[in-house]
Amino acid sequence: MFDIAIIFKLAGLGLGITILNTVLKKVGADEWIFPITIVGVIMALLTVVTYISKLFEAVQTMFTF
Amino acid sequence: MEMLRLVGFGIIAATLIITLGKFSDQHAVFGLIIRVVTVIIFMIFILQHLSSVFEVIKELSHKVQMDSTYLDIILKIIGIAYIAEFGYQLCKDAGEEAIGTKIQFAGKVMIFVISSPVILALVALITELL
Repeated sequence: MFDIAIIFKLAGLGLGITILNTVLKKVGADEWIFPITIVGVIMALLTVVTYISKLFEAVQTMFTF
Repeated sequence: MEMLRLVGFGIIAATLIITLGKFSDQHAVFGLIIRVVTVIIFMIFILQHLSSVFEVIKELSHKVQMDSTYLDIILKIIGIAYIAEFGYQLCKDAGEEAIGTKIQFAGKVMIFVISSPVILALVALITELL
């Protein structure tokens, strides 16, 4: 059950986005920072949503809602 | 042995969140997302172990020939409390204390709604006795 890989994937995504943004700042293409961050956040939220549904499924089977 | 893996998992996630936090202030959202996923994985893992406890409770209630509807209500209340606590903690972590307290309040109301038949049955019983 312990898929630690998910955590590493998310952390990698976060780090990648932040590094990409700092690079963008250096290059001077500042206007691209915001959309890239949004895309990164959406990708991360997708994984969170699947996990939340898994959790609620577990709770439902457990507490016989 | 399970406990070791659990604690290790938590510590790794915490360090990852810190490293992300250090890198940039405005990208705290990734730290929060990692925190949410870690909490969810923890809870799923614990819930699986909780099922054995509920089996024991059910068995005991069958032995005592207790009416199982009350047991279901109790289980539902525990579930609601569990989820409300989960929501509240996460909202508090994210700094949204107000939303968290509202979740808790909603949890209390739901628990009261679910337990109202039990209260009515109790009152009926008491009036019967008197």
